[in-house]
Amino acid sequence: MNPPRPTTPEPRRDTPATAEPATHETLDRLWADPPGLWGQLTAVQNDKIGVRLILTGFFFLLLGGSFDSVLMRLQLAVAENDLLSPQLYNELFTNHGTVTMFLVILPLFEGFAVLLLPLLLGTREMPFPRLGAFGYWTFLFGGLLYYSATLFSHVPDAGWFAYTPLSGPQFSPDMAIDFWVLGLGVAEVGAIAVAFEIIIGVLKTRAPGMTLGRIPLFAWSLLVMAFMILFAFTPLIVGSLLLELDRGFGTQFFNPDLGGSSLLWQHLFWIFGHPEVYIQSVPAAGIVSMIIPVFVRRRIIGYNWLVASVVAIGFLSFGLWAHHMFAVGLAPIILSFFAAASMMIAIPTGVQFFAWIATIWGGRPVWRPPFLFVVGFLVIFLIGGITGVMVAAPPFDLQAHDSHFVVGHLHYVLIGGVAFPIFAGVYYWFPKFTGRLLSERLGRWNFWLLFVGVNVAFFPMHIVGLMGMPRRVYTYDEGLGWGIYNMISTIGVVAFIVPGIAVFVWNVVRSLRRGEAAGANPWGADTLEWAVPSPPAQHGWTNLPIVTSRHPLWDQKDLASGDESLVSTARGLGEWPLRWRAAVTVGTADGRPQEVFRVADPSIWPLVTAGGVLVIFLGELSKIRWSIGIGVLIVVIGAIAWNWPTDPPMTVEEEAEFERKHAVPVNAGGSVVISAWATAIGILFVSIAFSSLLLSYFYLRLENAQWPPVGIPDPGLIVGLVAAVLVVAAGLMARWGMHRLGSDDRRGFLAGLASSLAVGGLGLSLQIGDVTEMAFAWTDHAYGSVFHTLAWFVLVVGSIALIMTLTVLFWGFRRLYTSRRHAAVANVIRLWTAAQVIWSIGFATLYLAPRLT
Amino acid sequence: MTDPERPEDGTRGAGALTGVTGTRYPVDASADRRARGVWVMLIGGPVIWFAHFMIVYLVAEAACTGDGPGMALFNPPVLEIVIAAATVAAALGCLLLIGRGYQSAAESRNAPGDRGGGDGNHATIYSGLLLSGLSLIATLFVAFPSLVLAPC
Repeated sequence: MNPPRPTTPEPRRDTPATAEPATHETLDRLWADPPGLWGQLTAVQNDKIGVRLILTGFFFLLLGGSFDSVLMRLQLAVAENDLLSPQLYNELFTNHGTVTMFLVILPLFEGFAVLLLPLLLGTREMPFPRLGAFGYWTFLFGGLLYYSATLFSHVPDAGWFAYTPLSGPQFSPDMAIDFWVLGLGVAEVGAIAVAFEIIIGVLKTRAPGMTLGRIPLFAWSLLVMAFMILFAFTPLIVGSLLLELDRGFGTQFFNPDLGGSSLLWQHLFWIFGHPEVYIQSVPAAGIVSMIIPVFVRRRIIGYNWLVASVVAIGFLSFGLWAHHMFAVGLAPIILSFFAAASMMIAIPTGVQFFAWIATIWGGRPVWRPPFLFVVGFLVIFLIGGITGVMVAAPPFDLQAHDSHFVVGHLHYVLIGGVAFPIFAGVYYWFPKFTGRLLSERLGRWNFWLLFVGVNVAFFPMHIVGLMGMPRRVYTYDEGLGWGIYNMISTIGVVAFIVPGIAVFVWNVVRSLRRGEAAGANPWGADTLEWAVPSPPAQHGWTNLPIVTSRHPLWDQKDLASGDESLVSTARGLGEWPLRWRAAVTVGTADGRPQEVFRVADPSIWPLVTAGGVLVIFLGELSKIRWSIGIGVLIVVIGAIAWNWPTDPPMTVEEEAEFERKHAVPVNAGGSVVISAWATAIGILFVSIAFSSLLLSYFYLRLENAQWPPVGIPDPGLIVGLVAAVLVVAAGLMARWGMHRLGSDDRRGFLAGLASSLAVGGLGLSLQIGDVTEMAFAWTDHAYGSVFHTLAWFVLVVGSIALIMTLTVLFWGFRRLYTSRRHAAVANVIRLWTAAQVIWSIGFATLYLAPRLT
Repeated sequence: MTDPERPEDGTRGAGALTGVTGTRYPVDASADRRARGVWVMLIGGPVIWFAHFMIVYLVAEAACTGDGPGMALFNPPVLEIVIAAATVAAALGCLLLIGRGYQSAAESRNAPGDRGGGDGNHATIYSGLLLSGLSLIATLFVAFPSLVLAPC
């Protein structure tokens, strides 16, 4: 529907230069992390965090992805092999799946995002550098905690999905599964933290003039990925919590004898597990959409269609989790819902494919390594996608389920669809951040070895799977005729894939020192990151670029002219401030600057807080439970210290001066806009967790004919009702307090908050008393387990609202807020609204639902 | 399209206004109305699809898995009625968005779009139009088997 536009047969090759004003050096120094070990521990710069995430992901790939798979392939190479014991084989496939799904691809893409987004979007930093650092540390700690199972010889062995009852206390009594649940739990916290950063980064911190329609496709993909992480990992955290409660505290969520349901775990796991596949393939497709136009010298065809596809995949992927459960005996109508949704996802994926092919068709390909990997991706991913549509049909799936056909399918998807684009991305962006190109010759070796290897290794699995070879079985009989296919697969891994990866590692190591110098834009690319020098300065951009096109480096003569007000802001920010790290937030849709805000400095507190998270999980793992309290204390202190308000490093007059000149307000005390966004997304996170618990409650309700079970009375109404009314009233009082502040009535403001605190505290205490006095314990029956867990969840949400109210009351006494500046108070009120709604729904579920039936 | 220079609603969103003398721009996300319109257009269809999917799935789960006192409420023909009603409502919602999207896409077609000035939201609205169409198809496709299959 776009108006016909003249197509540029050969996009401009000369990259518009960025201006280098005199302030460049000063800003570079200002944005650098401090030197030395202390500097490493306090570092928050996006380059550093991004590179760390990528390297850590790659480290886990070598450890869990490659090493395990080689051993497994050696074991399966011949029939009746006794190289590995069955137990070791169980541990290896569990570890291989777990590590690649949780600890490899996720940090790689989050690392790409943190590293690249500021340059790609034309801004100086991610919105929450300290949150990024926290995300990295928790991810690292989680990964190491998970891996430390090996040191204690308690290696998880229940598959990467840890199905109950195998993973429950009865069949896995030792600590192996605890390492799985708790180690990954820490890493999941990190993944969600970085997702916050990415969502707000893409939506709010972009170059002036970069409207939604001009966002690079990779950034769109990362935005969708981050939202999917939020929606998928949260149910998994809830599921892991329930599993750990079963294992460590004797609840009955997954115990069918006492009203629990092992299918509940499968639902919670796959609500995470299937979107996880798309969490990995969506950003991979984003990389492909970036690379194709550059290497075929043509604008991407169907930008709008690609954006729609990515968003569609993000949504549809949440409606097909049960296609992993086709064989568990769901009702046919339910199977057909999930089968329909699974097949629908082929439409947006197909649209992407046709857009890519059309772009290549209309262009003139340049066969450099990044493009080779993209073409490899198109071929292999297509095969994996089509076998995916096959297994989306329940009748076929019932045949192929749990066979090597599925192993073949998923490796075509994940290696073709995800690993190849990652390699393409590394070859493409390596020069930007190191200043050196990777070797072209080694790149070709790298590509061909992997391309041949993947097909040799995984294609025979389809055949042997259809012949009936099951997954996750450590050996097979001689006479079944599977030997030859397995031997071919093993040859593919050992003779092609391993050397392919070795060539890649050697290429990176060698090119770091001896690679050809790259220059700013070695590929003649179109997006903003190629306008800055390679490697870029610490702050990325001295003068923010002005974007007037989707392909700024191809279409714009320079990055400094455009709409007058935008130019004024961009120039202004190049000259002032020079003593604190300033960045700009823009309107979500229109890309116009909204405010100048101060980005956080290096700080040790993210590391301390991440350590606190680790202590919480370690306390549960080691069953030294009092240390959980210490962990919580560290997290609370760490979070408060990390967010401690500091005096704005300039005068109000200076702020006003900038605003008068450039018509953009300055908030050196902290951003109004992105803190509101962060609150909103935090509320979304809590709501998703709450919804997962609600679904668990009703799922268990459905599985039990009698609810509450025989012998347990309905919970008494009175106390719960009074508590709910008090909590709702407390929220209203806090809101009233803020309105008083709006009309400069400081006393009314403090009174409102104080009464909110008192009334809310009373409501909470009543509720705590009621829950602890209940006639049933959470170990008695799944009803008790879910009742108490849901009630405590609601109580925690209420407590958070109270703690936040206390904090703003404290700062209110110290006169931090005025009628004009009280963003923090507004955020607490938003939180109160969420707490009121969650509390009310929780009350209705816990106290009223049993009465209805 | 509103004038970006004009504050849209000076009193909205407490804690929202900032700056010594206030600012000409609304800086609260909730006050950014144009952004809100674009987002509704973009994800409205998929949200409708997802809501429909969850409703039909959960009601089917209640009808097929749940038994005991009170659960008979969901048994056929209630299940079929809920599926039919949810599907009609969702399809109407998608059609509404398609109509709206078609209109705004046509209106913004002549705007300078992503290469010139303008607000550059044409692309996003058009993506939203495509998504609404896909959501309509997906909603009908998900509901379709219930015409053929016995409920449980």
